[in-house]
Amino acid sequence: MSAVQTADPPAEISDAEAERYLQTLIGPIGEEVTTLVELGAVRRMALALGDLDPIHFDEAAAKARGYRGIVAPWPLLWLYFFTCTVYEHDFPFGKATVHGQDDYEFHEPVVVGDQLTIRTAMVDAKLKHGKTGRLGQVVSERRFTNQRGELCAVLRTTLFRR
Amino acid sequence: MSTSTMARVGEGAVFDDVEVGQEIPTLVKGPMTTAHIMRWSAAMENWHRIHYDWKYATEHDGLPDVMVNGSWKQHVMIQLLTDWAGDTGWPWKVGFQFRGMNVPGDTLTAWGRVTAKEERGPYGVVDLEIGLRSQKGEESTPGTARVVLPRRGGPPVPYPFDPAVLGTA
Repeated sequence: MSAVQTADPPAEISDAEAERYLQTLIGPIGEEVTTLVELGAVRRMALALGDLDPIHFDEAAAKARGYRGIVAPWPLLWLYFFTCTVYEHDFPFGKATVHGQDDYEFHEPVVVGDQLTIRTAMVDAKLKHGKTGRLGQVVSERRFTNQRGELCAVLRTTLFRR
Repeated sequence: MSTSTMARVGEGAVFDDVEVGQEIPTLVKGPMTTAHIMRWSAAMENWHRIHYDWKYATEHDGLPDVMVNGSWKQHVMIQLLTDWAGDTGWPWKVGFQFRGMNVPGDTLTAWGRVTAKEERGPYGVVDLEIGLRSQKGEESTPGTARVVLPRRGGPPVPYPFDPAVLGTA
């Protein structure tokens, strides 16, 4: 005699458990990282964008317009997002993670030769109930500071888990 | 911390000339090709296969084509603002939602419309609604921005930009 045992699909955790899990995500993520802003990376990005303002590749032009050096296009922050920080999170519920929103604050241009320090933290995590059912919403924040102690930019990324 | 006070010479918008409801000059990019997407992905070191592997994008992820990068779309809208503000103004805050996909063949127009303006100390703060519209008229990336501008004859906005220079509202 044998019975066919079929594994039940993993039970979805309760809302209370999901909320408790999300709360555990709040706080610093990984170690702070310091990285050099390289000329090649800045030049490659400006050309890939078709942003031909010479402040992005000509030091004399950048300095003549008052910048400390060759100015990185702001999306260079994403290079350090991908290469220096933890950006994927595991969720014990839901099926798919969607990148929903980005919010930037800009304070000081990033220039070639800067030593940029990136600190990452989860600053908000909550459970919502929308038209499509349960939705986790997490906001991670990356703060970019230069070697002079100046805050250059803040990037907040909102992910949805559904 | 030092504050840069040098003359910045780029022709930028002046607060006094800005009117609520005004459209700022658009920025058009495209038609996008797979070469644009590959080049951007390499510059970003973003190796997600939906940006360069057509078979993976369409068969595994069920997408209509390889995807134009969200970070690239954001840049077009940031460039719209930096071009408008010039060297004397300062795009302070900008945020975007990802509502739609863009694929090779799309021509994208970044646009902005002034929704509010307020004098703050020797500067002016301007709020804008911004977006990225395809040749089909579809909006993929609605957002908002806050830009600080000089007033006519006034000093350029200093950076590192500290919101304290605006005084209290």
